Amino acid sequence: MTFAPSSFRDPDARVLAVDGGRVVRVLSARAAAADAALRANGLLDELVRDRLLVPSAPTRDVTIPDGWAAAIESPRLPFVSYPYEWSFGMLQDAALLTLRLSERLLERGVMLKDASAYNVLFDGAAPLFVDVASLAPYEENAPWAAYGQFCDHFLAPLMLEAYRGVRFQPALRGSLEGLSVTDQLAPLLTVADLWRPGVLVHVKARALLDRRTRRLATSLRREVRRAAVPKAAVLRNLQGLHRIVSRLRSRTPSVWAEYDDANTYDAATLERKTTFVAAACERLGGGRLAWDVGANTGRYSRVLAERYRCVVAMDADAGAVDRLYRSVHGTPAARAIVPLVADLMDPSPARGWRGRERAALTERGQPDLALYLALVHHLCLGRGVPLDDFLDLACASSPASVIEFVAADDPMSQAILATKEAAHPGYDLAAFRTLATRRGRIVAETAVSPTRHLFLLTR
Amino acid sequence: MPTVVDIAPAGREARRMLRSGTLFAVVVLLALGAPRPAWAYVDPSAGSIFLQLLLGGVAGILVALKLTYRRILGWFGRRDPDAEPSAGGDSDRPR
Repeated sequence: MTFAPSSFRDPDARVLAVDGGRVVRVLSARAAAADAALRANGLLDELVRDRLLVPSAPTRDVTIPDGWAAAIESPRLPFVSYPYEWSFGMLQDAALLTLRLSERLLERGVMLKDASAYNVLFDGAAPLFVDVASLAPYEENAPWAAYGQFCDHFLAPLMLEAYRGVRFQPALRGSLEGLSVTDQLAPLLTVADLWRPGVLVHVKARALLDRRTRRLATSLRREVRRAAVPKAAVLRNLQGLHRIVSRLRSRTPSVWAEYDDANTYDAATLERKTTFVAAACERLGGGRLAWDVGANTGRYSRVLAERYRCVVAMDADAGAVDRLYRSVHGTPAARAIVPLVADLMDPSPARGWRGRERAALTERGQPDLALYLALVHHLCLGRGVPLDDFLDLACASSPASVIEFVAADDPMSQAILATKEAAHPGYDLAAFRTLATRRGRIVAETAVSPTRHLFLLTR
Repeated sequence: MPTVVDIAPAGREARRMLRSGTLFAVVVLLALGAPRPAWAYVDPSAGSIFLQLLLGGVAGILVALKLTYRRILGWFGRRDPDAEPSAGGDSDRPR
């Protein structure tokens, strides 16, 4: 029996690598006892009902490895996303979920062992806490051990974007430990920022204390570990952080967040595109997972959501993804659509311990269908990707794809080419057709405008 | 429970911190709970615990009392026989 590569930090619980995509956690003897107590008092059911926590139940039909006492199983979410692929609003909601959950738990004598952002996944457009084994008995007067981790994983990246106008995704992709309050955020905030909520206490004071205590003798550090912090103080801290986090707003400009309103399509073109995508879904019969690459406002993600269990709506522009996230919230499409900050030019690589802790974007499930609408000209004319290379990617990524070919004389292509010197030989409709048929089958084709053609391509 | 023998190095440490102007750090010296079964496997930085102590509003009077107590013990040279060397230099430690 082997363990999932991302699961090794908690000595009391690990996720098994079980066939069939099941999510099974094994628990140590003391964790199993604590888990049984939680189940007995109904707390877990309450949290699941309130959509804070993923459902879980003890399971007996796996072989529990030596040294472990019990196994619990949770349903697998259709798509795993990571904090460096979330928009501001997504990270903010994941933070608020973690705080709300911690508060609810603490009132009932339970605490989260950690506050890693990787404990939260998005089920559609709704965050869900998935690490059931992170719940542990609260020890009287224990400080909140995960406070520092919460700040590095959630508060600091959110503040970076809200107080400095810098996108947090590259920073979080750069380090799985989050953005260090002490080493990375504090130096960026000055005296002029002290009035901003949370900066004085959670950034500046914390950084000062961290720096002053880094070289404490081991004997003293042991005493620190035993420090007594009253439960009321921990609760106050959780509530204070909740207030601070909920007031943060992104301050970064977004090029594409206004795109849908400013673009060159007329209503009839949009309608033709929507009809084509809907017909493609119909023909393919839907499925489990779909990608909408360059999703922008998510117009077509919503069409896919009617047929696919999970639609990953990717866009390289975090502002556009954030707008999409907020707009699907509370709609039926939120069940299926996972908004994701992802750039096809630089998709998330595999990361972490042995390069296996966090999977590459392309390793997280093959989509049954991928949409590449109003994207090819950006990749090929804007970024220099050869057309045949793009088609290789499309055919390798999914058995079916809908591709919009945007000719070089389209106004949007011209806008891209306006400041470029280089010519792009071989970028035309005839070449696209030839290259596409060499790799797969063009099942349907339609012209949505004189310079734009839609293709349904299968391999 | 803290005993007389194990607090002298802490007192010495406290004085070192006092010299460097970090009085606040000594807050922890009084906040001695009993050892607990540890569930949390993440390393809470010492700084983050100090901050929680300050946020928790640990009574200043207790800080002062405990600090004074430890400093006095420190002046009498009481120390833990198996104490490890302090991280910083303490060559001016009063004997």
